[in-house]
Amino acid sequence: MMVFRTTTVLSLCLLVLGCASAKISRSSKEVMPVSYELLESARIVRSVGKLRRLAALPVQLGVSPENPKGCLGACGWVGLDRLIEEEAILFLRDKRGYEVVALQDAAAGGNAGFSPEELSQYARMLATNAREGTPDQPPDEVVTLVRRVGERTGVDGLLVIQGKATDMGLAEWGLAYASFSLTLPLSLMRMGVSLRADVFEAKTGRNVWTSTLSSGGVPNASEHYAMLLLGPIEPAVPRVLTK
Amino acid sequence: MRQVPYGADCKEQKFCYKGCLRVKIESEPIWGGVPPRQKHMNNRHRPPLNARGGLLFVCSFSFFAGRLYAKIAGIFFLPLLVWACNFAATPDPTHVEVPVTPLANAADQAVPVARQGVLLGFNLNEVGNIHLQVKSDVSPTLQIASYTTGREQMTLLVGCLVATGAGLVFVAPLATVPAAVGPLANTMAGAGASAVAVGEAWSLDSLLGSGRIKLLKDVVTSVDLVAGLQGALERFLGARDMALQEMQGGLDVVIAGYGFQTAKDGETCCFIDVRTLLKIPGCDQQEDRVFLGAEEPREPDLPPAYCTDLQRFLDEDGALARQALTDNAEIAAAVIAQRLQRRLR
Repeated sequence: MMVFRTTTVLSLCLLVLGCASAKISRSSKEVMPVSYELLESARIVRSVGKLRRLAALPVQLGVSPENPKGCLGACGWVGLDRLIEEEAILFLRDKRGYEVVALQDAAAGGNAGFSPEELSQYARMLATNAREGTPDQPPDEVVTLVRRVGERTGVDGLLVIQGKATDMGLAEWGLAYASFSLTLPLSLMRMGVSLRADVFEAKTGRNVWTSTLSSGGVPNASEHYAMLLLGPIEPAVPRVLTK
Repeated sequence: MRQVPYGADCKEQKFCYKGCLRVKIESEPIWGGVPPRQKHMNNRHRPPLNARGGLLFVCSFSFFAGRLYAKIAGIFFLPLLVWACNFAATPDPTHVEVPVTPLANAADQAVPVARQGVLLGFNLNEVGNIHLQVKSDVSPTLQIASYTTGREQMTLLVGCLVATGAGLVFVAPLATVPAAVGPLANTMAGAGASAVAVGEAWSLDSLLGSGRIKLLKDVVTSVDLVAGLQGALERFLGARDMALQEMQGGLDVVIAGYGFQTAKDGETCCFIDVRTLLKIPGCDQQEDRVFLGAEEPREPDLPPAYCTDLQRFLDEDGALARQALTDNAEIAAAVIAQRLQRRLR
């Protein structure tokens, strides 16, 4: 019995530790910027990196349990969406050389040309299209939307981050307690954060780059999900090679 | 490094430039080798040999002991043992000098092309023909703290724990069997667990680590940065063959260091350190430095260094590492050309 328990604990440790891994599931070769031209004498190979000016839409993060009171203690996902957005912008700017416009801040300040409500609606629409649409043949309304946002903000592409953060709810704790931890492994497996980042090309409205991240364990602000998610993105074309 | 306004002490107006900068490097020799080493990479403490031996002994003893609680205690010593083995096998993190190849170290075979009095030169903003000379006085540098990541080591530890625990489920009942079978089972279990731990530690660092070292060495020695930098400079400066007599100045471009280094956050960064020396008759020499790498603060006209996981650099036979090196040469050339454009006004 003792050995069985030890093995169970070790297996649970493996589950709780989890592992975060990001992978590029899509990267289009033919990408066209609109905000600059590459120097004729420059020879640098880039795909998504050509879109050096990006606009970041608000992060669309689904959470579970939806009611913060449903968590045992503080939910790990509280404030996580905003944190992911800020970290993504900082990472792209400081580590990969992109110029990133935070549309949420611009809309709140009245500088984006659309209201925060409109922006949320745009973000939801693009997130749905990223999940369910055909990347190379976006529907007309998506093309129109991406072009409109691109023209108003003067960017080469739009960055859409979406995902889900799942914490363990009170009900699951209760169930685990009642079942003598029998349901605990299932609850632990359900916990975690899954994210997806898509970049839409402003010129054509196509989805040209996708990265996904899956991370186990309690959603935790110190995990740097955005850095892990966007880690595989290539560096932007340096300003010195543009005109 | 200090930048001071240039102009007052330039005598010959023909080659004087308004508003240009002269860069003095005060604290280090001008063509001095590789970037400063990062202290944190030298401060790692290895467990002494007797400590590792002690761990091995405790681990083995607990497995060989007949008691179940001792076996379980052994499981918890295993990660420590594996860690110790890992640490012992980790390559020296301080500085791995890559063997110098004729391709990479071209100090004495600078690329300038002296074909019967014809040299490579350019003429920016009509200030006169300037001879362009690109060379390298260093071999590539690899300053990698560890060739295996913390995540890989953690995966190994957890995997080892679970595998050993699962194995014990089958072996433990044998311990209750009397006579000769019990000790035999204990011996086999202990030997097996130790072999797995040592084998995994060896495979992780010896196979994975040494494979990565070799691949990275191959990558840095296979890229001809001198040629790459010269080609890029020719394009950006519009350089062409000129007669020796037409030259009125010279631009020496020296690659003072390049390769890969571990940044403070543990990521691997591709870097290049290029020094330039502009010599115009009648004017002070102008020195400049373009360092693309994980060095803070970064100059405003330089993009951030490309830093990522070592494994990502080495995927697909080091394709990304090669591309990062050649991109760095391209960017450095563009920065040099842009700075010259500003100075030679």
